[in-house]
Amino acid sequence: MSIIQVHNLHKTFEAAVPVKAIQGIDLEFAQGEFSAVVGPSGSGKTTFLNMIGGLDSPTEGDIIINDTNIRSLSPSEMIDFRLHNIGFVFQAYNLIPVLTARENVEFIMQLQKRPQKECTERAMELLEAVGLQDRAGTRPAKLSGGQQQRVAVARALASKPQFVLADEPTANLDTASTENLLDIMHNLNKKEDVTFIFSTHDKRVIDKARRIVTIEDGKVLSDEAIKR
Amino acid sequence: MNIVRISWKNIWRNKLRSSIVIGAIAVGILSGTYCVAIILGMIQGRVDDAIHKEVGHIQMHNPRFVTNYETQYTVSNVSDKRAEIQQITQVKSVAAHTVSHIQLSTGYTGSGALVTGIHPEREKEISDIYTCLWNSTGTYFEEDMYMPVLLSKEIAENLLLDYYRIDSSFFVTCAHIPDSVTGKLQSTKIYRSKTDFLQYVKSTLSSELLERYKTDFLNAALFFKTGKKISYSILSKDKEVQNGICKIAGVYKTSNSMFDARNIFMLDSDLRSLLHIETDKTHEIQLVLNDTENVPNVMSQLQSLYPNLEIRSWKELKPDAGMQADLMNMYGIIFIIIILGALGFGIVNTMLMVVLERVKEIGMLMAIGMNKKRVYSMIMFETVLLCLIGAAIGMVGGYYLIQATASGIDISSLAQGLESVGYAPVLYPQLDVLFFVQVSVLTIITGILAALYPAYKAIKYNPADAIRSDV
Ligand SMILES: Nc1ncnc2c1ncn2[C@@H]1O[C@H](COP(=O)(O)OP(=O)(O)OP(=O)(O)O)[C@@H](O)[C@H]1O
Ligand SMILES: [Mg+2]
Repeated sequence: MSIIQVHNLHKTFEAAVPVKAIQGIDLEFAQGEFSAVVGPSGSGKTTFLNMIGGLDSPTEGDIIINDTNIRSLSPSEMIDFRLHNIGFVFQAYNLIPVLTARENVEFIMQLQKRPQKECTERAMELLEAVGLQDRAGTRPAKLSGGQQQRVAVARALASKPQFVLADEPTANLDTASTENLLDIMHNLNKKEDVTFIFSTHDKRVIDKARRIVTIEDGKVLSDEAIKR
Repeated sequence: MNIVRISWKNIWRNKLRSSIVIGAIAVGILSGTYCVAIILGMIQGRVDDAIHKEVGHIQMHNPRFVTNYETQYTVSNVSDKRAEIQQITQVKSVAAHTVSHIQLSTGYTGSGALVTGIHPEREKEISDIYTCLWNSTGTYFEEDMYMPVLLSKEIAENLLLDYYRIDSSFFVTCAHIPDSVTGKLQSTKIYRSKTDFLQYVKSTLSSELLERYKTDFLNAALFFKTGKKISYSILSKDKEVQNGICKIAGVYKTSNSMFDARNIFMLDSDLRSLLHIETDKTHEIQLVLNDTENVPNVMSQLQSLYPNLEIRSWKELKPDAGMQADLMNMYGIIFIIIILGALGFGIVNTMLMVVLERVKEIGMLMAIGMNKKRVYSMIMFETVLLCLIGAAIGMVGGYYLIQATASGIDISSLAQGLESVGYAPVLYPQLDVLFFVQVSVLTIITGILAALYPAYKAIKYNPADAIRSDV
């Protein structure tokens, strides 16, 4: 069953010389996928993920997430839609620096107006799942890059989203942290059936993916499923 | 985690910058509240003087007396009226006055004045003039003498009743002047005129030293002779000119030289017989209440009791003080608004820097689902809290500074100009709680206004661009 359907997607950035970043993409993503979007720098990976995450709007084409055509949402409906349906892990600047790891995870649930008790319990569960239960009271500045990204994954899952988008989540990490983060994501995918779609340049990350979508010049070059 | 808590924590991310802004606000509010306290203290002092030394809270007259002070227009049944008025619970004391124009003259010159005939003991209940004897000259009608009159220092000087001498008390008054200067001066005879006295000082010291200490020397050497005779001329109620001799009982001085230039006092019994006013009639009934707030209430009670009398409050009798009192609160508020307005621009600038620094963070927050209203409130709370911390420090500082100087700041060296418009030479800074509440409200408003533009900028970011940007 597909949760994301992308039809005839185009995105042109208006500039002195207009940039055709996405030039006609048709794709579907199903529940429980662990997919990598790969391609050379400037190929349109970030632009593509931003559009399926509702952070940017297409110039042409449609994105349907669970029966909702997100192009029909107003900007404020879009924010609310993201809050309840999509988890995000960015390359950096994921966390609120003045809050502790636990508070950062709780924060998104508080935005969803869930009871405080539930927020705290789930935040602790998720921090445990990413192996950071003993750093719950630490602020991001005192965590390593890898630990920060693990908190970001916990935060992305906290809102119980349909799927998690991660744009180069390991770009700033060393090998050990990359493997660790990947293992955690992989586990969550297997055990909890969380859908992950991530972009990457990193061979080690690509090797873990079960589907690899290759984009070049804003078009899908190849789309292969890998049996692991 | 509510938004206010995040805003509060955000303030302390850049401690130096926040401290500078907080410091600026604190200094602004501190100096603002203190200036306002001084202005209000001055006005309050003027109002207190107007009420307790000059006109009381309320005065009642025959309406025709008010126009020209013609002495035949009296109020009758005075003792009944006093008893009735005393029944009103808010009234503290009542006293009756006879009042007339009078012409005074000495061998050298003459001066007109307004003379008020009083019963000294009753008058003490409604007026503090008895505490205002200048340099302990004479008494408040305590000494037994023929036709005693209490002059103001100003009128006594106009009548050339001033004498000068150097004696032991001169050196006490001049203790602050170096001995090397005063040491050269010796006890002197009495000088009949200012010029002669200054001539002596000039010949003993130098004209340069004289210029420097002239005011001090004159003040210290000046005295008045009680018991000295002056002649008067006054018109009785049947328009007969009465001439005679009265004697200086004492000399007073208030901080309002306009009042001093016009008013002298006699015993009611003396003035009454000069004017031929019957015992149970008078010109003026003056009331002092327990509380200035009760003036309107008592006014209306009196108006229904005595519809035929002209009844006026201190605000009507002393419109200058009345107007100041009415505007008092507004002065303070306008002053603070100006200060906060100026600070506001600095705050806008700081918050714009804050927003610019956090582009990526704000983009991330909007990306993960924090709506614009919440982002807006986050910036707004941060601004308001920043302002409130500064204002709170400023107000606490202002409060302690006011407390520390509440016993008075003497500015008499600069104060001659002030006295000529009725203000005391000692400042008593004062503020009420309401003012601090108003400052807090204004601070919150300033914070909200200062946050408008930075918060608007913050929510205008497109999350995708914000996260991508390389700031
Ligand atoms: N806001 C924008 N305005 C103009 N051009 C843009 C904008 N954002 C992206 N582009 C252009 O669109 C193209 C696709 O960029 P995008 O960031 O999606 O590539 P990417 O595959 O994520 O690259 P990388 O691997 O370096 O992250 C690039 O040529 C880029 O310069
Ligand atoms: Mg990219």
